[in-house]
Amino acid sequence: MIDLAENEDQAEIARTAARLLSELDDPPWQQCAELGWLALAVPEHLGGVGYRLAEQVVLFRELGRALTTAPFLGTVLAAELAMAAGDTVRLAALVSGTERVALGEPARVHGEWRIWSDGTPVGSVLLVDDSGRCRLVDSDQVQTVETTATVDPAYQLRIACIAPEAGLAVESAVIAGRGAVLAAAMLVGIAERARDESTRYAVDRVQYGRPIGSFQAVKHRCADMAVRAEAAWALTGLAAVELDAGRAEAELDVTAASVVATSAALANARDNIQNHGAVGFTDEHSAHRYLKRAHVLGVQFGAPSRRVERLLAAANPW
Amino acid sequence: MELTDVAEDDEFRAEVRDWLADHVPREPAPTDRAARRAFDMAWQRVQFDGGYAGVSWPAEYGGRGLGLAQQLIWYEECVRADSPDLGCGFVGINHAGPTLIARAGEEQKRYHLPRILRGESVWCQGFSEPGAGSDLAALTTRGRLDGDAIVVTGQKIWTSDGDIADFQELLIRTDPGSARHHGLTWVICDMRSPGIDVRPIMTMAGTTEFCEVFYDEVRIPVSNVVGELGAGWSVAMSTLGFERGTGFLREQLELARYIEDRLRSGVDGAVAAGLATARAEARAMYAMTLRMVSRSARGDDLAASASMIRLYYSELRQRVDRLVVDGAGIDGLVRGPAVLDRYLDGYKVTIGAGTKDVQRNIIGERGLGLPK
Repeated sequence: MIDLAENEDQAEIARTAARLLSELDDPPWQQCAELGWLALAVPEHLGGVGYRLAEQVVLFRELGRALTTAPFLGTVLAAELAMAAGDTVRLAALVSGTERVALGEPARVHGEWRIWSDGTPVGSVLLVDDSGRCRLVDSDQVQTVETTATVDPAYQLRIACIAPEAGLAVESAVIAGRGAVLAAAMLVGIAERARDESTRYAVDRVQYGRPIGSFQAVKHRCADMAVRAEAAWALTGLAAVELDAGRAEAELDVTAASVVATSAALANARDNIQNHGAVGFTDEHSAHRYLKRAHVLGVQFGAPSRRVERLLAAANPW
Repeated sequence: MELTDVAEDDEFRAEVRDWLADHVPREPAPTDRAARRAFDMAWQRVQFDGGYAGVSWPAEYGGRGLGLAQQLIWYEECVRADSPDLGCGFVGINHAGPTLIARAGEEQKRYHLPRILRGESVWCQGFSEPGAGSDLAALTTRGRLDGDAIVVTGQKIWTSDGDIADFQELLIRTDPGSARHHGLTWVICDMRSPGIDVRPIMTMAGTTEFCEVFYDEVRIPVSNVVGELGAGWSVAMSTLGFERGTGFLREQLELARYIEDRLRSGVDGAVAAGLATARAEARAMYAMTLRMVSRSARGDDLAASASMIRLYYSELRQRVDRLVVDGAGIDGLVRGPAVLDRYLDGYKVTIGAGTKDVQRNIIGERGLGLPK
């Protein structure tokens, strides 16, 4: 069967990552590379750790929970592209942390791209288009036209011109699929953190002489947060195992995981703001940061309208 | 999170699929209550003879002795093959039987479990009372010890299949001075005992499987007590755990299949978009079920997980049924089983097995540790 409980290795990955990330919101990139975080799903004979997507999602859930801004997602997907292209030199640069990779997608104007930037320099940009074509383009071939602020203060959008032939290209829907599952895992991390912060606050905060978590209005909102997080995590795990095994249901479940994890993170972030009352609306409190990050992660690898089309087009699992 | 036992599972699935292709009854289930009982019990007997009754029940009591993973495969294939649902076999197979396996004495198990599997006994539940619904511990139906019998007087309500059942999982107050969840006893009640009066209740969906049951000095042998006298609350929690957890696997799979069928029947616009999202959520529900089955093999506390799946299922079911009715326009308001009857019947799923509010309390308190 498809066992969806974390095994011992997966639990250990989660514990190690959670420990490091609780000490430092954005741990040193190089230290993460030395821990193998960029090489988790690279086979051992290529210098990697030899795990699969099912282990990678465990790590990315923790990265999402910690609101890590460093370009883990772009860099591990670029490593997938390097493997698909058989470029072992490039792969080595990526998994060692030497080359950091930002993510880009087509802009409205033909030939222009939108690149998510956390403000630190990257060596290259991974461009993923709707058809699943992926290109890894060196930063010196990216001409930035304009830079704008986004919903999330941690990210800017760079509008850039890139020559159509530039970079190392691979035709593969699998890379975007893996990206969607890893983004879903990060969204689960956000949904769980929002749930946990609300739960803690509901126990500690006293009004009318009682912890507010004893009132059903608050308790039930927290319960709904727990259900959304559980649904999103279970489905993300299912999609990961199916992609690892090359199962046909992955086509449906990858998109389903994007949809369910995005709405779980957004709804939990919303409820977490609500549960905290006025302090939840302040800039000082962290509640708004989950909402803003959820919006950014929620649009990676497929706009919502595109996802509905994909859900309708995916093969019947029955 | 990994694939395990792929070859064994595929083999079991193929075997089940072949068997179902040859044995699933093709005539529709009758609506007359007595005829429905005969139909359900006959299909149960066919499954028993084929070796598929109680896939995850111990072999010594007539089951197949396999795990919950195989039970799930069995139900997946049943839904795929459009086999009849458990009908009035539901309580016996899904929660009375599992409660007996977990909590009953050897003699009780040897008597009842094979009868349930062979399609010889129909069970019903006697938990709720007019004054004890969500607050089950407020129940007042009393049992007085008299020699080797418990003499029961009181009233139960919302007893599905009470009109055609042979046995009942009956929860009563046997310690007259007790309060709340103390002093209760879970006892097997023979529904043909003198002093029992069963009255059907018409539901808003036009069905009559719902009953109220009156007990007037009904004598039940003390040997029918499951667990200890006065320790029935804990047995009842086992029953509810099965009812909310593994007891509605088939319903979940049916809902997923229903969504697929509706998508294929030609929908557009808002209904298509709504069903697309429902399709994603049905996959999440399936994943939660796989996760619960995986965790049950490790002996985790699943009370909160079971309530989460129950809540997710029941809200998804109602949303989908409503979408389909809306999508059908005036045709959706014409009496018939496919759309309207299903929609109306669906109003029960956020009430039965614990209301959605009770499920949220369990998730909040047992799952998240929030104060009562």
